Amino acid sequence: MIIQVKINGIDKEWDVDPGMILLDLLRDKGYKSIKRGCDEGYCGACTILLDGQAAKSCVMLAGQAHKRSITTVEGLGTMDEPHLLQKTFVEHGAVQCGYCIPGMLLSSKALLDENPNPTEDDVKEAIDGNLCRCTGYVKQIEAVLDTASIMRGEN
Amino acid sequence: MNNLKEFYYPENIAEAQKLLRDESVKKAIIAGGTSVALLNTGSVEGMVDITRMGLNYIKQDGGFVKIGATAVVEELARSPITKNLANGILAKASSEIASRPLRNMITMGGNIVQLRIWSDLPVVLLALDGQIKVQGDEERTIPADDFFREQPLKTLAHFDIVKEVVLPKTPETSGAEFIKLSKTKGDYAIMSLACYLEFEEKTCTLARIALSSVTPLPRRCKKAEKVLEGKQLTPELIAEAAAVTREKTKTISNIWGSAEYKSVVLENLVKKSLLSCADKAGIQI
Amino acid sequence: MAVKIKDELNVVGKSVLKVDGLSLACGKAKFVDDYELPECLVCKVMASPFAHARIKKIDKTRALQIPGVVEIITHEDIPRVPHTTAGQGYPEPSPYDTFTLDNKVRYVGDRVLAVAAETEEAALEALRVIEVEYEELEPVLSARDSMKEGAPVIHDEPEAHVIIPVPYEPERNLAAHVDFKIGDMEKGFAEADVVLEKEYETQYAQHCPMEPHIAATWLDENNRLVILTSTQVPFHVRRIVAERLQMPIGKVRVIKPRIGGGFGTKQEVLVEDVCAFLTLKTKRPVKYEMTRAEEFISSRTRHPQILNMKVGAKKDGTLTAISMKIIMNTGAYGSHALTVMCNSGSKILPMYNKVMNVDFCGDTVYTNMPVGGAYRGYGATQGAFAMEVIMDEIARELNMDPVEFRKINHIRSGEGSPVFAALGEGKAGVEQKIGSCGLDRCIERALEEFDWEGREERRKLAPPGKKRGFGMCILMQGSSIPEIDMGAASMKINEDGSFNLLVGATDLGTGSDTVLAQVAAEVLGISVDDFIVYSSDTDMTPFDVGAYASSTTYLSGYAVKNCAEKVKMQILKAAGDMLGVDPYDLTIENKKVTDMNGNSVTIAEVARRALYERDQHQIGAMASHITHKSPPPFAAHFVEVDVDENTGFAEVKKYVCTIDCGTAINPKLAEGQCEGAILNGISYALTEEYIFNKKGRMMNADFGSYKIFNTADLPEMKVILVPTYEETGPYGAKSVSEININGALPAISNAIFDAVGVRLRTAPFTGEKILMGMLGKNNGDPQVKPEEEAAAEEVPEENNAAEENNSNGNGVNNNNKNNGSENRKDKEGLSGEPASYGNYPAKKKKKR
Repeated sequence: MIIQVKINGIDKEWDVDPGMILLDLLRDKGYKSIKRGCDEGYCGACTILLDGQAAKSCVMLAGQAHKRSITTVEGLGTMDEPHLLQKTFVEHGAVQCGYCIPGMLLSSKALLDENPNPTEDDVKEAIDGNLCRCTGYVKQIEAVLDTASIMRGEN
Repeated sequence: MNNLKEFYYPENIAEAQKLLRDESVKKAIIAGGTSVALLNTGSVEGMVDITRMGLNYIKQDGGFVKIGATAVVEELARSPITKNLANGILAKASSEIASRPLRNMITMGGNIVQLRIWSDLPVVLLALDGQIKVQGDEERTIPADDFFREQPLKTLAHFDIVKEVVLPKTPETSGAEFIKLSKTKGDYAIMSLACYLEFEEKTCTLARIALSSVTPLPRRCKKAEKVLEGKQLTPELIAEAAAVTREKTKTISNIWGSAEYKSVVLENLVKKSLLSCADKAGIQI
Repeated sequence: MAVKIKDELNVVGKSVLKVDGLSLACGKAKFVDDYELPECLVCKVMASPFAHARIKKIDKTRALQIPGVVEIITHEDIPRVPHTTAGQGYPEPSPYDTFTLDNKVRYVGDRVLAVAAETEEAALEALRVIEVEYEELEPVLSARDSMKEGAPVIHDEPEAHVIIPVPYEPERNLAAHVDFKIGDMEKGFAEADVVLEKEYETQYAQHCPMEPHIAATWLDENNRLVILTSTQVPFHVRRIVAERLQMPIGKVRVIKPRIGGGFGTKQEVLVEDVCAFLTLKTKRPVKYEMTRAEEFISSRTRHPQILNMKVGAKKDGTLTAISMKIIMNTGAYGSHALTVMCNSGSKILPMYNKVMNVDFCGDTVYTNMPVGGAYRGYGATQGAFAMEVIMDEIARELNMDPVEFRKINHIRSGEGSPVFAALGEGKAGVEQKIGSCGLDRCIERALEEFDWEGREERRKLAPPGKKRGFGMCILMQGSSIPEIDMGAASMKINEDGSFNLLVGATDLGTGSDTVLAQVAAEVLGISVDDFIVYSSDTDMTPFDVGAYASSTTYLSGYAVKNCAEKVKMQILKAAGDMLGVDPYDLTIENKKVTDMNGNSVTIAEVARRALYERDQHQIGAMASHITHKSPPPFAAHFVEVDVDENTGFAEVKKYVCTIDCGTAINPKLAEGQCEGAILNGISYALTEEYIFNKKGRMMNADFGSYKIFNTADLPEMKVILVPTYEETGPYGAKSVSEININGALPAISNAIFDAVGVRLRTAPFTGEKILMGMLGKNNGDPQVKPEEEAAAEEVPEENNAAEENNSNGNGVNNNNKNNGSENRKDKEGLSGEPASYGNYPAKKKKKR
């Protein structure tokens, strides 16, 4: 069937098998920033934004995305013009192997979009679905808080 | 991996039911979809997506809080309405489900229609005397006690749609508590329990103790409730209710813990939550 | 000791940005699965449903008829080459006991056969319909059972052998053995005022890299085999796969792109061989990606150990004797069977080097269980648990503060330990004196940061229903395997003064590309941005053993330094020509070469001249390095824990780690290594474990029931780098990545005891174990599980709470049911004379 999605601001019409897992579909379509870590909804490497909210694409069927908007890290920023979150993540040493990072960035973006003034607990809650085995999360939490304060014009 | 060929996006319940009644193509309902994606959907060829029918509301209506079946648990966790209902135990239970991206997907209806390891909300409905509105041939309202007597999916017809959960507002002189025990935060429950006490003057007039994960289905322990009802509560009485709960609950061993451990903890946590309920109701014990 | 002044350095010691950071953050950096390979087949592997069975017959007929199924390989189709998957240097100390595919399966999850198909669906369908006939054999499901007289033999094939002269007796399930004695144990214990003997047990755990094992293989335009793989050891992959497929090494090229974490499990050569074999058969690209369940069950784990410790001490806190006896379970194959067990002693015993009476005896045994492997900490994790808990126990016996007790006994700069020479990796170790040691300062700094003195006040602040406790431990590890490991780097200049830095060392997310570029940049007076760092491609980058044994910064870093110094000489020489001065009178800084009079040429000008103008030549070099020492990093860990009196759950509230890693080349990345290791350690200490059913099948092979910590579980964590200068390391650096995973087990166990008086000697420290201990039903010792209760029942596939509950009447996941008689009975077998095979039942005849 044909599904319509707006992905990273661009309208697409895809003829797909609606029972396909959304993660598989998006990677097939070239959105390789979305990673596969468990296929079971636990690790969060496949996190996307669906209508602005973080969601795990490995436990969604393609049909569920019909007429919805999707954001991936490809739509967040580029290497020439990175999103502030991407920049601060790197500056804070929050990126180690980087496999979980696209998902974590999107969860963080969803948070900052609705709460420009998050507490540390808010950040922890917002990225609790993104497992990372490299970092211990300390630097990522710092990076999100720092991004928020920069966005608020505080430093 | 599945035989799905079509997705349907009904705009209202009537349309959804029409689709489900037409059995030329085998269909199933999908809402949040987190479990559907993991399971083998077998011969199902059509998915009826019920998330676009306006059932995602959380509202107050007179003495009741009404929650649409497709309201996601993240909203339940944050809504001022749920936060202000019965000491916010529905909000608390919702906030402890899985992780944020999944809470954005998991729906009220999905969590209660299939009783699975992740079903933390049924105990809250049991403790707060919730009712479940189902649209079948006609609309019917099922008390939580009856709804969870067996796997709801087994008793619902294929065209039945769970529409709404209704929770009565609780009086000032009441207290409620929800406790989930899990290995890590956001993990599946080793046990979850919800308690509710109502008082007149200092007498406990109503007690509900509901537990889940330690028993095959979420259930209330009415024997223990009886220990409290009609009495002025004392530490001894609360300890007795907790002991009765333990005695009447045949816990099971599984990868999350042994039966013996769960029994001990059950007693401890029932005691703790009853004390907390009384405290929240302003009753000194 | 000499601490070099930071100001002298421009790049080293600075937290420069990770060279691949932005690319990763933009989702651009490519991992194996991000490469598009036209016409690529999907490989799926059938896992054994039995713990121990012989394959009688495999019928592929039906599967081959499925549209899209291209190739099915079984043990009958592939050369039978005994090897080890361990991914170590040659000759490997691990036994050659593995076959790419075999006619016998030795654990649930062992490889049976492999399928290549056009689609994943077709491959899975093939696995479903292939009929395999097994002859079930009696399985061995515990280390102790494996050692019993008459136990089923797991490696009964004649080919199993070791290629270095070490004890190996597969006929009695012995995969490795080491023992040594120093001094006089009897005398040592006789001199003691207190002697404690305790047993400790550590559990299976998985590395859980977010990216599972994955490889893609194809034949290039010259018919050479290309292996794109998520590995820590590209050069070992090349050697080992060539060997397994019986082809020349020169016909194989291994490329390591970005790696989604490894932590040791990607030192194992696990997926490349089947994938490559299928490519050779089909002449098409093939990709094999493990599922998360395969990653848990069929990849590698942390070896479980049973550690028997006996320690004697005098009233004044002086230690008089330490005996350490280890039984290590390597599972079905002996990957790292010898070296992990050795490390449990060699990275632990030297800490208490004042003791002149030391006895070590380790036996690694086969079982029909998941396979152990290299895992961050590498045996030191298990050893530190036993040692640092018994030190706490003995300090309490002596009524001494555990910190003061350690201060009396720990190793210091300038001192050695006889253990260094006694225990190596597959051969005798290398004697060494400790150069840099900041342990004293680590302890002092941690005491201050943690406010150890104020702990009694803080104890009173525990919330209602909780008990608060405090624990600590001290740690050491190593840096590289001395006189075995080799690293190399090559470098060449480009016209604009940029450099290609090619390293065989493997950045698997650790940041080593960045750290190595910092070392090179420091030597050449340029910045990290001037480097195009590439790791690793066996066709392009020079040899390096790979990322393991805490070696990259220390060993490969030195190779890079050597290389950069050679390049520097060439630049100075060319610049000297240009400026008409002696190269030795030149300095190189800020991207230019300057003489004593202030005349200068830029490095770019030097490059252009060398490449185009005069005396043309490629400025560039290759250099390598081996080490003669393995200088330990040191650390002190302090932890505050709250225990819930209702549930027994322990929650870490605060964790302080002070670490001496020499010079931190990149402090931010070094901190990140520490924080990651600590959280992994905490998660291991509190929740991570494998739960098996009666038939040896892992019951919790997913992140839903094997819990690793997320942000919601994160305690307050503080890492403090305590700089020292290690003379033998590049710019004073030592290793940092492994050591800090070892502290959580002992420190948390000690803190739990401090909180509620329950001594946990079996990990993980679940709420259940603690609460049962508080109720007097768990004395803390490892519990031998009664046979009929040794396993949890299966969870039905759908995880349905209701059904699960019904079917689990007698399922058990209970280490706490005390069965004293069973326990004692089994222990007797251990107390036999520690002869050559000290941990085996005494009556067994010695044989080599």
